[in-house]
Amino acid sequence: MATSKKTMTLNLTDAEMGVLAGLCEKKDLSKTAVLRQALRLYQAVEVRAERGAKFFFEDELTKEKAEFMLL
Amino acid sequence: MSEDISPAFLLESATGEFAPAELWDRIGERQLADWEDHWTPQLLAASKRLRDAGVDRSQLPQARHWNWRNKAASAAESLANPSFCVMCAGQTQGMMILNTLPRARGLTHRGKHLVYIEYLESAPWNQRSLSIGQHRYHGVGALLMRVAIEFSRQEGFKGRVGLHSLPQSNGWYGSTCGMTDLGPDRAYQSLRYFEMTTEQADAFIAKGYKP
Amino acid sequence: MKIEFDRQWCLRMAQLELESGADIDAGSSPHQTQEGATCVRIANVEPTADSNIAFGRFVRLMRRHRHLTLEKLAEDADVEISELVEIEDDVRHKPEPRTVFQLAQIFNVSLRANLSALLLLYLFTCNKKGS
Repeated sequence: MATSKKTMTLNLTDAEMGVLAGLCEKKDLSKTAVLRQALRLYQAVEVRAERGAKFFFEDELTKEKAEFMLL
Repeated sequence: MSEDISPAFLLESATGEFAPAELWDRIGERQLADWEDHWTPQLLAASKRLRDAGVDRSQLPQARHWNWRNKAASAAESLANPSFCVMCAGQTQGMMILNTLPRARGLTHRGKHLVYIEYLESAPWNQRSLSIGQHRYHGVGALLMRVAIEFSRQEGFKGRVGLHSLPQSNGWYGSTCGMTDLGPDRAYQSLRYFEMTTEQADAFIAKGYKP
Repeated sequence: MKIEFDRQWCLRMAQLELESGADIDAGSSPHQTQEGATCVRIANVEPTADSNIAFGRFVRLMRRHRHLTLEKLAEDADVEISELVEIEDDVRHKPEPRTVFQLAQIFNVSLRANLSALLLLYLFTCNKKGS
């Protein structure tokens, strides 16, 4: 949709910046792209959690499920 | 909320001429009204005709169960689900909802981000198999596939696209679009899952410039 | 998002689409659940609607009255069997408006009952829009 983009300055710790940089390299994405994806994922998880959904990770091989706790 | 509108072109069946069209980057009330007032009645009537003619239920258009109003409402609230539509002659010719969260499954780019086409449907009169009078416009699917690729590029996903094809479209995605067929997906009622790599996306776009 | 669509490109791709002879759609059926490395299991916390209970019982009654299996009813009404199962067994399930309409037609209900079915259809549509 027609969106005007706004710029914000983000203060991150060295550790957070390190994680961000690592994700950028691993995913071959820019910092902006990684943070944008993180926001989308956060929103998607929140919407489901508000409906009472639980978040599980499933081991592909064993099919064992482990709940990813959201508070 | 306003939308960005990009001029485009479709090919009109009856005349073989160009028809000016538009790509909107949002599915709104106008499109949903078209879906309710025009798509749904024609789709249901066509499905009934096919059933009366003895066509097996499994061969009927699966999208007849789709509720675009619900889908569009969910998408409108989600950053991860941009929606698009193609307009021509004052009517909605195709609609699409994307998802930016899934990852690629293909071996060459496993785990990398891609744009997943959650839903894509062309208006019933554009679908040959429904035999609704004369097939009206060609090019809706190609336009929407191009949109998915460009959006993928814009997001930094380098043109990678994934989708579950409805059976009548397997040939289009596999052969014409040049996507990789990763086979039937049991988690999606055995619909075939296709992925497009960066190179395949470039090749798809390049096709449009070859004689 | 704006895209520049070259006229030549649009024409050539439309011709390829025509030559392919394919109808172009993509997407999953409405009742599939997405599984994969990240599972999201939905624990339904919505309150039970009396109309859901009544409708489910109505469908089961009418189906049995006609000695129809779920499969046969799904085929005749052109609805998904998985949704029929949910309608009859899951009081929290909200059927699609199209499903309600199709079942009303199959059960060949009278005008008076048609109005009731239409009212149900209206109620379900409102619930869907509101949810």
